[in-house]
Amino acid sequence: MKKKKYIMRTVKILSLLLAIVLLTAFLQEFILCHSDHNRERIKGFYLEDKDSLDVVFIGASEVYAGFSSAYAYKRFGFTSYPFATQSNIISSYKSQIKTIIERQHPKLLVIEINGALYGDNKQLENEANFRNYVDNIPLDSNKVQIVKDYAPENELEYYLPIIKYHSVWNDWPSGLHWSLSTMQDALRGHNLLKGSKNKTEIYKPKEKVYNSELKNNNKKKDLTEKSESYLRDMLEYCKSENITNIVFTRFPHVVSKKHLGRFERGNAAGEIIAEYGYDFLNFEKDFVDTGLDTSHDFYNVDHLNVYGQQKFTEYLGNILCERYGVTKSELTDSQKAQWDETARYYDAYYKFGDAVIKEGKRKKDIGENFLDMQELKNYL
Amino acid sequence: MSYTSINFLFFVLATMLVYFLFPLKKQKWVVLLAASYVFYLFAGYKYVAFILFTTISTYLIALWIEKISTSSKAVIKQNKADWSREQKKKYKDKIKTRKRLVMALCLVLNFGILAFLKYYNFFAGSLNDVMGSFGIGFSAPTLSLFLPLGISFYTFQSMGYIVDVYREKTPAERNPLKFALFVSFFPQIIQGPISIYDQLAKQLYEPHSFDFTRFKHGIELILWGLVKKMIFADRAVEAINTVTASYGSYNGTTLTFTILLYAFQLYADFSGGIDISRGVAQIFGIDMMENFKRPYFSKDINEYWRRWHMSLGNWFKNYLFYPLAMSSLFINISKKIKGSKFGSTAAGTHIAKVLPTSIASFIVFFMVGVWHGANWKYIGFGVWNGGIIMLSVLMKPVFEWVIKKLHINAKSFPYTVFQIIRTFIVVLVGYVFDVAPNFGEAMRTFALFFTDQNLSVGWSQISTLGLGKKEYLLILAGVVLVFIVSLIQERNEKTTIREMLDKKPFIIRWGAVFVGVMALVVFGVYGSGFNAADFVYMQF
Repeated sequence: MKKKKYIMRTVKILSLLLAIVLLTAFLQEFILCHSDHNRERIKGFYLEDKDSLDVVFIGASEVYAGFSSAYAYKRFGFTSYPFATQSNIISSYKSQIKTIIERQHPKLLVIEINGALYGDNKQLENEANFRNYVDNIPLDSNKVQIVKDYAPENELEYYLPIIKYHSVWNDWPSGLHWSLSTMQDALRGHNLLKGSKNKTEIYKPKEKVYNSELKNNNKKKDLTEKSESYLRDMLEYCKSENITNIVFTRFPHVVSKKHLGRFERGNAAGEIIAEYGYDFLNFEKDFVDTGLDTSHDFYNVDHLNVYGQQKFTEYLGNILCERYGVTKSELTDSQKAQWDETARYYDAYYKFGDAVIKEGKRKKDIGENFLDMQELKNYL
Repeated sequence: MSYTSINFLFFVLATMLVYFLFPLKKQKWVVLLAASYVFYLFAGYKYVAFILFTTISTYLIALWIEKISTSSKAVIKQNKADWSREQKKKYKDKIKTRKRLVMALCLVLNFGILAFLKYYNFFAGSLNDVMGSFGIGFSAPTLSLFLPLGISFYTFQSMGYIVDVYREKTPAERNPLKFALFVSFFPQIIQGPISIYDQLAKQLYEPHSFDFTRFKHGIELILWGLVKKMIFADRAVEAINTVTASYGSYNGTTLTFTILLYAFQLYADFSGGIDISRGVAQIFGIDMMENFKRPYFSKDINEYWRRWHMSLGNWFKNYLFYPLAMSSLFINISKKIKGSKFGSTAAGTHIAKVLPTSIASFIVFFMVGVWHGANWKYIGFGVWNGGIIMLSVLMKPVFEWVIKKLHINAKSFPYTVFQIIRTFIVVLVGYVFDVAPNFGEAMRTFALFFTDQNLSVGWSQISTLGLGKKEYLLILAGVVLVFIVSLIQERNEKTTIREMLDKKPFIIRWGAVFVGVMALVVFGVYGSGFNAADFVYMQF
């Protein structure tokens, strides 16, 4: 009798603890977290079937604004994903490469080098930039390693991010539309827009633009000491792991006088990359070849709009297929169904962006959050 | 190691495991002693010397006092037949003086350390101000002193013990390690309660086996303490700190709001901390004394001080108030009044009767003020409370006469509510001294209460105190919750809410714990995004 009582009591205590742990885990994953497009995109990457992506991109915001995986699938038939975060920093790249190689073994890894081109160390040291990536990856040895390397203080907060973010209830309902979308993705099993995010705007440059004059501009400016060190560390890692299916790129930007320094740092980075024997495609230099128009295809100096995204995806997609041998994917039926749905949503996304820009009344973000997707459905 | 930290949780769990699995049943208390010193070492190794000094000096002096008593009794017994009554009295007086001197040595040593660390800079600064105002170029140096963790609490507790040994209320503890545990018991070291040796020591030394009900009740009490501290108090303190950081820039309305907020914050913080302490002790089978009994339901300020920080009140009552009120000096004052012409009047009779106790009360509260800190504002706090108590005792017949004349039913519900609100206002006035950065600012605040009330300015200032609307709403929910819980406790004094909860169905019992834990997870103030506050009473 007494034994039965003890067993029942133990079961009750364990049930209570389990309920607390499960609810806390749910809250940490979906509700009490820093919910935004970065989370949506990184979580989306982990929803993709293992070894189902042909091309994976690493980089910052120009990557998910400038290249559409959905459109590339529609046009070329290969699958891709931007494993990218806002203001991604070069110190995170090595960890990102490791993750991608472990999970996907892609045919090609495309690395946009913006994370190494910041003019000072402020962005590198910005905790938010680091967290955009680290907070959203699952707890594994890779996460533990990067946290130990770069954020030894408050280590626990990275493993249990609820400690950091539990107070977000104070900001509700802001952010909840991203949470809802992340939940929908988890239930659906994949991310519909494959991490793409854009703005319904057309940037009109107000000062002289140098893009058409950069083809032969080889002027170089030193990277910051830290950035160069992280860049070299990453390149050495790739070499030591014998990762050869990599191409480094610089996505197109509007280059005015104040951005020339960054352009020159891009040249310096290209030279370092070449030292290690890797290709570097600099679309700032080769801007004219891309067919992009600085007064129509950008929503600001750093990001392509939906028109520019489509043009550039077409251009880069061709290069990836022709020069790097990326071919049409062989997908299972369910994977194909998912990617076909993604292509359908891309059409709606493009139509929606085009309609809002032409309407000219509002400027808004378009990404895979609950509210945007409701509007997008009208264009399906 | 804060009581609200994860480290403390693991520390308690580890201590619990070792304690309950410890094979030497009679020596289980050693586990508590070791845990207490480990806990203390976490606060800083340099503090340990102070607590060791108090422990050793009090332990030895208590034995000394007891030895004097025992040997004197033996001498009296030996000379029982030979000594006259006068000789016996003379010898007893001599012994009493000797014991008193020895006790005073202990009190001076230990209170001396406390006073030096806590008040030296205050006195040096005040002395320099006075000298400066007379144009004397003397300057007492100020020192960078630190206050060892819990020094006020363990000093008061130890000195209470030495007085009890002196009074022969309790025998001196023979085992120095056992006594060390009484002084350092980790659940109470940060902010009390200030326990009495008779009530606590025996429980500490007894071996306790694991008891599920006690464990459950302990956990529930800890949880309730954490909810009060981490959800409400630590959130409210953000706004209070913002006000105190630039005190002069807020109007009367904002300051009124701040004082009200402080009343809630202080109660939630202090009672929350005590609940954690008592809950932890309960898990180990030890019942520590209550320190709060719904103080804001008090009908007069005397009652308030019997319900607020009860262990401190108890200490002052036992070791300061009674010795003062019963002293020959005070009794003589009473006699003199009685013997005078004024003493033959009704007022004179009343004053002769209550004056010694009211003066003793005033002195006690002056000392309570001093205990709170080295600042004139705390002396103001003590004088205010002592003054009100003195006045209420002296004027009692006048108040009774007014009530009678106005045909007020003193037992009616509206009058009770009036008394509670009146007492609360008196308490709030006292809190002004706490919140204001100094005595002058406290005085200015009183003026602003009457001259600078502006709701729209106040509201706009309140919205910039670092808390958003939702956080204020959460605090309001906390006020309502604490009020309801207090009301239930007030109406069911013979039982506890935890015992009441035991009688409810499983889903309600466990649901309450589940909701409590999840509320902490979601609404608790923890992590690097916040500056979780130390317990307010830790600084005293």
